[in-house]
Amino acid sequence: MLFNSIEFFVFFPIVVALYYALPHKYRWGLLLISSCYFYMVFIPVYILILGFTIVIDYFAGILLENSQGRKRKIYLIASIIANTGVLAVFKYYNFLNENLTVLLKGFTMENPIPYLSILLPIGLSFHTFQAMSYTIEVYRGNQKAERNFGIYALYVMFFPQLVAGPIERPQHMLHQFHRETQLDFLRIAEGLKHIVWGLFKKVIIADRISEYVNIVYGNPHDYQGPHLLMATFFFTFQIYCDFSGYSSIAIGTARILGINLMENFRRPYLAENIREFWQRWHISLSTWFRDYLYIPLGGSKVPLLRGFFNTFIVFLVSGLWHGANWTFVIWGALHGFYMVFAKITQPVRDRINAFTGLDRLPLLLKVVRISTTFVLASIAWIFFRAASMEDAMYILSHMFRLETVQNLNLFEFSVDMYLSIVLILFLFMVEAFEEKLKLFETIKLSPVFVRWTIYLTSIIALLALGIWKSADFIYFQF
Amino acid sequence: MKEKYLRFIIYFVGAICLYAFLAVRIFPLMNSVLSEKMDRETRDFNKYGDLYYYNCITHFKQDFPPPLRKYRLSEKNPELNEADILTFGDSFFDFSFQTTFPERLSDTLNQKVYSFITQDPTQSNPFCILNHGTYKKRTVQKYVIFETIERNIPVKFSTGFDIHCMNVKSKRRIHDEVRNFIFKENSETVYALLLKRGRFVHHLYSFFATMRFDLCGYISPLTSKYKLENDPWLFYEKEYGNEPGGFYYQYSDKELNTFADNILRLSRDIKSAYNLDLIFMPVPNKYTVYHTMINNDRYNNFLPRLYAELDKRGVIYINLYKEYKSANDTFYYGTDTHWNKKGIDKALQLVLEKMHSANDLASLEPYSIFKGN
Repeated sequence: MLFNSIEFFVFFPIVVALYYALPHKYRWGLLLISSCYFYMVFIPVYILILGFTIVIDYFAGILLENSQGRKRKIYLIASIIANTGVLAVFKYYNFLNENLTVLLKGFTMENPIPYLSILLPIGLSFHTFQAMSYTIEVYRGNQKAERNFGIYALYVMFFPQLVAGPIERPQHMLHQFHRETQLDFLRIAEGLKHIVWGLFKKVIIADRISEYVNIVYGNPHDYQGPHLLMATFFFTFQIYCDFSGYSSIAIGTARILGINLMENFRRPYLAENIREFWQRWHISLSTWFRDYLYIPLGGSKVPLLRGFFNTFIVFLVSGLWHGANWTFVIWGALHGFYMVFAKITQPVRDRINAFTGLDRLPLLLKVVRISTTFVLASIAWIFFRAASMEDAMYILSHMFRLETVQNLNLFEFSVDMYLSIVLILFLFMVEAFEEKLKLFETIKLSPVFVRWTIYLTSIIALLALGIWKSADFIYFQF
Repeated sequence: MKEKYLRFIIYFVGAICLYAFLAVRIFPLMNSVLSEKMDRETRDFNKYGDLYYYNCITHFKQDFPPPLRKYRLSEKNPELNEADILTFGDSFFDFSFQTTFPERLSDTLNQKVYSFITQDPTQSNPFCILNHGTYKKRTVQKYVIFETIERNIPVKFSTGFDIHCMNVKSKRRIHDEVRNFIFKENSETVYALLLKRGRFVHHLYSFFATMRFDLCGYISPLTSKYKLENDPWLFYEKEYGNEPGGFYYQYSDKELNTFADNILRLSRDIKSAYNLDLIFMPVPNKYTVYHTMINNDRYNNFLPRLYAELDKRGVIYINLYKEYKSANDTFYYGTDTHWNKKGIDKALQLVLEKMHSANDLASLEPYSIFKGN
């Protein structure tokens, strides 16, 4: 079920009404059933995969808590193998097999291993990582094992964040299902605002610009510089609006049900460097990698070269987490390279700033830094979006060929194209205001008349300008 | 106090949504909240053109004559074994804004014309009906008219029809029914229908759809090619897409041969099994005939190429494409996918001529009467 489908707009109010009609002790049951339904609408049978990992991790949690010494490690490893095993089979098996075929072909050998004809269960990487964080935290002693099987299952399956996060931690989530939620006008209003803002980003911006992006990226060889450049620029915003839109709706729906989810995006395109970008983009995933991969590898408290290696590995794995394709691996590697390169060149860049006098013009320096980060992120997105490495390399090598700019007829662009640019500017302005002046807080404190004018205008804008075609969210595929 | 109102609003909205949830699953609940009632048997809306219902933009809202009782559901539609002529078709033979083709044929010839209709191109195997209905092979030669819209030919004739087919439609098992009730197939489409035609919301929907169209030119992708000047015209996406069946799809010779071979096979099999003479009637897509209202794009020439292949194989067919293109008349409705009365008149005339040229119906008086019209 998609957040931008009519089906969801029918499903969710029913759940909310039943939730507040039921006594507290039955609510988790309702949420669990609703979550099962939500998931089964996609492909019913895949709930069995979820069920498998839930059962494994539930018992792993209890065993981890009840045992000592080496046994604990064995239980943890067993749980991690079960989770990553499911990921490996459904997400990476065919990818690895494909590469093996290519490799064997080099030795003029045939690959005897058959391909699997399976669909990737929706949101598999998200709920697998969430489940893994539970057993790891129980192992580390930061979280008590959950004894109520239903509530543990709900922790993994809670429908607002089941298919595309935010990837929660048990310490933050589990206790909230035990806590009784009272009907609270302010919280519900807050949740609705998140939903409307999320829908604005998804159906007004992301789905509008996706049409152009899909056309160009669908056949990049048919296009030249300006179109490739524009499609890449648009995709940079499409992916942000699509994914952060989803996260906003997830946070909003959960909040209406009395559950607080973690913030997943904090205006990433206002980041001044790639490191900061990752502190603002898909926060739940980057902190997951930080806590469960980067720090266990030694983090930054290791020799410099080893630190670079750790950083690079984390981004490489992050790329692979997104998809079983070399384009994702390159995307991750590129970000890893950006991070390492930034660290190495920091003193040189500081000297250049001092030499050019930029460090005495903080505003200009900020603009330069934000723009550079934006360009670097956009270049990396090419690999993320392109269907193949060949396409990505074509786009990269042709997008800056501005001699073809005379071929660009701005009048051939539809009203939608211009509207898209206006909407992106609008988004940018809202985010800039939010960054500096806490725009949403200001609206909340403004007079009733102003507030309601903004709310109604937003709803009318959604109805009038939204592309209501129940388009998939990009991150569902992960 | 605020909480009391909030609770009331939550329950009220929840109850409405629960009704909607059930309505898309239970037909009477659905029908009771629609501004125009759907026909219980056919699930059709009959007030405006079918293409209007895809976008609900008021500029394309044109009243149609009141629908007639569907021939196939009437007592006039004979049992299989009683029929003099058999017809198998899709919605073109079932379109109830005017007397349907089978009924017109029956009235014109004063013969019993059997009509079987299916909207689902994968369920159009006539042998399934004939075998299932234990149709008896006659010594007397009879005609069977097989009508299909151009866009469905690739679906119907990519493979041959199974001559031994017995199932009209396999019955779904109980657990499939239960599953479909819970996880309703195409629920999004049905919810959309409820939104577009719901008694309390259709005006609002139409208002926003029209506003979006006026402001930004948004229209349903299913009807994105249209004309507004003078009379409004809408075209159906499947007719102008790049997919097989669409105007821009480039058929290979191999595909054309496959279709023609399978049509020939149908013609031979139905003759040998039931002594029925097939008249194949592909109805051109509306976009094929009238795309020049919008553009001068080049037609993939599917129908003329198919006719040429059918000629080579000696299949009897009706060339509506040539007639519709050359005549200075309009044979389709502007805001509906289907042909109008003139379209049926022309098809009927050509069918009768075809029968006449075969010297089998030359003596029938009604034919000459029709010709006089």
